[in-house]
Amino acid sequence: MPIERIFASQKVDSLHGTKNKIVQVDSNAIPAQAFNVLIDNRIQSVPVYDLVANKYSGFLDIRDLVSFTVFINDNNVQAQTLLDIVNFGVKMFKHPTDVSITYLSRRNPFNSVTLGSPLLKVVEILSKGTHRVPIVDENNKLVDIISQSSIISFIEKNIGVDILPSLDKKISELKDLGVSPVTSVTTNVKAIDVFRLMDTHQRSGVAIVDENNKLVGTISSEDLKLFINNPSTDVLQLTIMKFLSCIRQLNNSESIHCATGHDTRQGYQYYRYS
Amino acid sequence: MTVIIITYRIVVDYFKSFIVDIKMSLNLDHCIEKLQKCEILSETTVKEITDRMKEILINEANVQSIRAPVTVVGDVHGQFYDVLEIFKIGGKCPDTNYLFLGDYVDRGYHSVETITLLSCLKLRYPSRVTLLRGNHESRQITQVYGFYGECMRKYGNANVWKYFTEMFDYLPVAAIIEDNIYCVHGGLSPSAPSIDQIRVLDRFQEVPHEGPLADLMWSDPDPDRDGFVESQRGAGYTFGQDTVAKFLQINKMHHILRAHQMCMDGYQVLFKRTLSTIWSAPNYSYRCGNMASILEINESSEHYFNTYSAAPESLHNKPQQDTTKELPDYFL
Repeated sequence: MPIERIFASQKVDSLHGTKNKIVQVDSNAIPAQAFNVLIDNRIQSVPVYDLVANKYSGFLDIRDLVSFTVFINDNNVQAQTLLDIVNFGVKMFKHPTDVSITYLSRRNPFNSVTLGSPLLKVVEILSKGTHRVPIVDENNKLVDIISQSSIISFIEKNIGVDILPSLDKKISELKDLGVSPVTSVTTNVKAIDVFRLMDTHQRSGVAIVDENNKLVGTISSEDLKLFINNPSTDVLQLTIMKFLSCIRQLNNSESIHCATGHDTRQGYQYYRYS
Repeated sequence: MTVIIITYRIVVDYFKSFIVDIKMSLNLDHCIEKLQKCEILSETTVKEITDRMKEILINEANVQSIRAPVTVVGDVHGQFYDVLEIFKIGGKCPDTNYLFLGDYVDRGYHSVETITLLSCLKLRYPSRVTLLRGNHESRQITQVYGFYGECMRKYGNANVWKYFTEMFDYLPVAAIIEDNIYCVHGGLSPSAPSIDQIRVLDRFQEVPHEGPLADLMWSDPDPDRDGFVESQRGAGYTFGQDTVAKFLQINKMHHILRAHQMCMDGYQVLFKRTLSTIWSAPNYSYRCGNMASILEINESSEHYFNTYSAAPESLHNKPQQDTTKELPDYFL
């Protein structure tokens, strides 16, 4: 397959997944500090450097914060700050005082690839479900992190329909894509239950399905004002569509991307990238 | 059929909403204006202030790096009008950068107004104000020396005291100005000869009775005795000129700046100008008759001790009750 040859000939060095700005935390940071770093930088996970062992212990992932939030909800505790979430959330563990970020990061191992390796090696790791691959130099210093997004960006820039004809096909025509079972819920489910699904099913995404093509999510200005002035875990009690609407307005974030069967894969990639 | 995929990007955005821009939910300028008239804020506002303070303090290191120019302030102990005097003499915030070395509460009559004002200034100008922890920023000490009693009187319950003492756990414990002046409330610790050891301590707890964290906030220099000797205060140590010289050498520093001890002249320089004590509460406890000072460090790292005496309002604004008489029901 020609695309495999391109990945094999391309070196990981050329990808610059993190655009020379690597965010990482040292093991002496407490969990709330480290989660703050994740949120401030709007990333899902961050490598943790173990100052004692002098190596990276793993990645601290926002999924742990999701577990904490679900745990807090199930224990009927209200949290109004990130600190509240972490301080209560660690009680999930047998020995809460031992829950350091090194401990949490070990759940997401640091399996690195060295500079000079072919991109194909990274693609193979990513295809097995890992979300990001750390790239290290000969001194084991972290120099880059390549995620699935970086690969998509690479494909978009460098690979045309001649190499990968399926880019031009409609998603519905691709027989090998989109056939694994999807974790899906209907629109009247609460946001906290979506969080719970993400937590228990270890999935990167949960699909919200509306049979009648009437996906609407509007939130009253009263609800929104309430949340701005008192951010809390209460907002997770809203239905998922209202929740999304609330978050979107608060963060002025990009509109949620939907793909329909009629979009081509290339079109979708471009859309996701803009 | 339409499908939307909820990904972790939404999750990150959700958590981001907890870190709300301060100006959106708290009108800090209004709070500061009110406090400057010596008016206390509502209990709910104090809770919000301390919640936001914890969020920003958590991102500060145990040892904060500061650039000159900066004005360093020693103990103020609830002497609110004298704190206002500091801003008159040293310059308004944020025009002047400030580093406070701790001991904001207890003994004075306005600990609540003092710590609330300093917290608001920190929230409003986070990069211009640095607040370190002193030995009085502690649950145990504040129950004996006045802050607890003052909160009970002014708010009718202990919630505000609880909010502030929780916030105190997050204050950094040391600072370094321009990579060569080491600043701490009390002094040195025999268990932490290297600043790197202080950097990795877990500071997010009540001030312990012993150990490096306690020593940083309780120790005193002793011009008459070398080495580390157990302190008569019951916590921390006294340390001599030899330990200071060794500390400066190991850590490549030129000077130690600290507070914690009253100086009649407002400041004291020891050990061949390698250690300075700075005291910013004039007429301490409204009876000692001492001067106070703030240390102004300019861009060229020159030191100037600006001394002052008690503000006129400080002499005339005594409340009816003596704060030091208030003791909680239980003793420690």
